This record gives sequence, C-alpha cells and structure tokens, in this order.
Amino acid sequence: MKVKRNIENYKSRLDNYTYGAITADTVDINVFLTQTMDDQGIFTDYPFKPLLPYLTQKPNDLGTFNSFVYGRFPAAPLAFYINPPIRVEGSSDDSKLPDVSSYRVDPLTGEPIFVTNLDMTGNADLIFTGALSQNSQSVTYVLNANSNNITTTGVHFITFLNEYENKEDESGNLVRYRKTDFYSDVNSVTEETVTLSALTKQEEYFGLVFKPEVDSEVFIDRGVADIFERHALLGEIKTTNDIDNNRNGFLRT
Amino acid sequence: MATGNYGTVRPADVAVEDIEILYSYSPNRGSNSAQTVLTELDPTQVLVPANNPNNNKEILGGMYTLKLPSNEFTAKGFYNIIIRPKQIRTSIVACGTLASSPDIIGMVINLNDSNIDNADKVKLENGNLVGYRVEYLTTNTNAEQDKIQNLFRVVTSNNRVLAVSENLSNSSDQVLSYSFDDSSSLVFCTLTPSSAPSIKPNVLPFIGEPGQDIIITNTFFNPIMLEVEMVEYDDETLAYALYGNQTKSLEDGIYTIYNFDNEIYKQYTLFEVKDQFTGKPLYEVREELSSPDFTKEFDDITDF
Repeated sequence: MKVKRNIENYKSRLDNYTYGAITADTVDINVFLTQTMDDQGIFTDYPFKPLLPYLTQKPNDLGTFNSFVYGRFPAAPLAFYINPPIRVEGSSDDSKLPDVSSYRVDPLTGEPIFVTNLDMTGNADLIFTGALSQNSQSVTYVLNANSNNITTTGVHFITFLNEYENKEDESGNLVRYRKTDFYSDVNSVTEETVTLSALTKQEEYFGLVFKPEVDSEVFIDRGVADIFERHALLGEIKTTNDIDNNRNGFLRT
Repeated sequence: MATGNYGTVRPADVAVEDIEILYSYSPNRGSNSAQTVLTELDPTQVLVPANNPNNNKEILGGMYTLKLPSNEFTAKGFYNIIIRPKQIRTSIVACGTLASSPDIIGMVINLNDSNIDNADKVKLENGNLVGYRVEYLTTNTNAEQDKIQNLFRVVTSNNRVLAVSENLSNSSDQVLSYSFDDSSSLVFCTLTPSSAPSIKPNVLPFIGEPGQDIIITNTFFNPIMLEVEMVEYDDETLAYALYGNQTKSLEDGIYTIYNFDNEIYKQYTLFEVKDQFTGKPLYEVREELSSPDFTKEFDDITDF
C-alpha cells in the first residue's frame, strides 16, 4: 500500500513567527485492517514406516542431534527424539497440602500435624507421598514420588504457611490460599509414553472442512409388509411410462 | 458436492494493545544503506480505531487512523510503516501429555515467566490463546540466525495445568504429565498443524523442545506494510503557481505567489544583473526569499 502526503499541508502560512514551520501535530493516514481465515483441511493418521535397520548412534557430524533441525531421520529410533529432562517449575494453591497431612490434629490450634517422611500413599510400596521437611514458615512435601528415589521423582511442593494469595473463582467469589510453589525433575516424554506415528494432511481435501459423503440408498425388497401395499403401488401407476419409471423398476409388468 | 468451506475475509476489530508498529525512513528510493533500521512506535499513541457512526462505543472494524507524530514524519522521503500483530516472548517449560488423555501432546509454558508483560498475562488464560501463532527460536547457540525460519504452529487450546508424576507399569521410571488445575501457573497448549504431508508421512511434526524460546503472536489481523512518501510538491501546489493569485511589486521587485487561501506560498525578488561599466543588462534573476515580506499579503494589496 502506497500513500503520498505533501509536507506543505502541515506547514503554517500565517503571517507570524510560525510561517514555514510544521504546525500540525500529526500526519493522519487511514488504513484498513482485515483478517483472513481459512480451514486447515482434513488430517489422517498414517502408519509410521521406519527405514530399517535403525541407526544405533545419533548423527554427530552436523552437531548435536536436534530434531528441529533435522526433521525426522528415516532410520532414527524413538530414543533419538527423547530429550533429557529439565526441571518444570510453577506455582499453585495449597489444595494438595491435605494429601500429606497425618490424621492427627493439633489439639490447641486445630491445624493438621505433618509428620516428616510419613508415607501417606496408603497401600503402595513403590510410591511415596508425604511431607519431607517443615518449619514454622513452610512445609515441603512430595506427591507420587518413587520411594527409592524421592529426590528426583514425583512433584515437589513447598507451601508457605504465612503467605496468602487471593484469586477469584468462576463465580467471582474471593478465594484465599497459601502461596505454594512446585517443581519436578521428571521428564514429560519418555520412550514408554510416546510412539512414532504421523498425522498427515490430505492435499485433495485442502480447504474442505468435511470429507465428502456418498449418500447411496440400496433398495432391498423385503417382501410384502402390508396387505394394502400392492394396491397402493398399483395406484401410483397412471400411465404406461409410470410402469417403467415407478420405483426404479421395482414394479415389473 | 456439499462440503463446508468456512474461509473468509473480515474487517479486523483488533484492539490497539494487540498491535505492534515499526517504521523505517529513507530519504529516497535509491538509498543503499546496508540494513534497514526499524524504530518502534507505541500503537496506543498513534493508532485510533473508527467507531460505528450509530454507536460511538462500538468499534466499526477494519478502519483505523494512523496519527503519525509530525515531528518524526515530515522529512522529505519514504517511510515504510509495518503494522503487525503484537508478539509475546517466552520459553517452553516442557512438552508433554495430559494425564487423562495421554494421546494429546502439547507444550507447557509458565505464566510466571518474567519475559511476559503483566498486560499480556491475561492473554494466556484458559482458552485465550486459541488461534495464536507460535514461532520458534533455535536452541543452537552457534546458529547465525536465531529464528527458525518458515516454521510456525497454531494454538488450538490452552489451559492451566498442574504437573503430575505417573509411575509406568513396565518399568520403575516415572513420567511427568499434566492435569487441568486453574490454580497453577503452568499453561498447556495444544498445537496444529502437527502434520506431515501424505507423500512423506515419516516427517515428524514437532511442536517444540523444553527450554526453547518461542514467539507467540495473535492472528487477529493480517500484517501490512505502508509506504508513506512525503513530498514537497504535488498537483495542488503546482496549481498555485499556475492558477493561484500572484503579485509583482514594481517598486522593489518582489514577486509573490499565493495559495488558494491567499496566503503567501512562495516569494521571490526579481532583479537584473548589469555590466558595471556599460550598464548593459546581462541577466534577469528570480531569487527565492528566505523570510517572506508580509507587507505583500494579497488581501492587503487588493484592499482599496
């Protein structure tokens, strides 16, 4: 889009000290903004067809294997695409805190008592859910950790007992909770949880929202269902042409 | 064949807060500076949407007035103005699946990321990112180009999630998945197209890597570039010289051209250059006056 503006239009020609100076505040130009929308088309799952045998080592002649750069290697196994875990961090409310409190309650304050290293999972040998440490300021706890490796598994929380935050629920009511941070060192994608497959776009359906449907009715003669059917059918025949056309030749003379 | 096609073009009713404006200046088209230098403008200061004439609280859609500050935009030359959707920059915290739907993969971002402006955080709330475009920066620090070019994905859903660790049935390993939780600061985004062409289905559609920097951009309107040419003369000013009023002062030789409002547009002094010894005329000269003589106002001269 090209626009031409004359600087003269913004200059003063009054017979005073402003003569020849730009006195307009702005140069105004109208623009028309539009939004274009189009369909993504139809997608279909295609089975993944690997090139065998698989590579045994990640290609390193081009630097660190980066699936973003290389795309999918035809002979790369799933392990090539699994990245090492990095810590996932965030903040939340204290709704998980009751999951790790013991069944005892402080008789003076009525607050639940947290027992460090007490597994509150219940009936699971390999899983640990419970408080890890506590003081007057905070409670540190873990949910669903591997009992043999609590440090690097599960989701670790710390709830600050004296720090409160507010939010509004869907109805607009004020909800108050204790500030809680969490982190986890567990990987989000592992070889056990993902498979290689391909979601493909069908070019012939580009721009179409629905796959074309073929509507074909197959007429099946299931015999006489009504004692008046024969009379009704013959009643529709008025001319000799009707005999040929009626009901796609179902009536034969 | 009855197939629905929903594509359309509509006048955009985007808020100016969702717009970015950049511009560059060149004194002429032949300028061969090594690289175009772009300067940012604040859209909330320079862009005004038009309102419906029947309801001044309702945006008309499509039409916006660009009010360029005259102290920056009145040099003779070419201004290239880019109006594009606003960008949000953050990084991917993780890529994973939903705990309840392990076949739904998405990327996870953190609302607490200090790179995200507070004003933009509301755009990351549940469902607000649908239709936004995600572009990726490379994780290769040695790359010459930080942005991965020609690659983008579109967000199809976004919801706050809490990380959940799950034990795997066939090993002692764990995997981190995500469950919906509106109190969490993490946001799970599903993306499309996560597709490969049908002729080469083995090309894996990636949606990002943990730790990767991304650019999230709204798709509320199509970006445009506007070339504004600032000129000193146009048809109107040439018409002043042809058809406008003029005066020539015979006493002092001041020749004045007026605009159509009878204001002094140009003023010249007319004189002759003569041979100093013989007095023979050598040249007739018309020289523009740097400061006008306001005693030659047209209305004053013709007021008798």
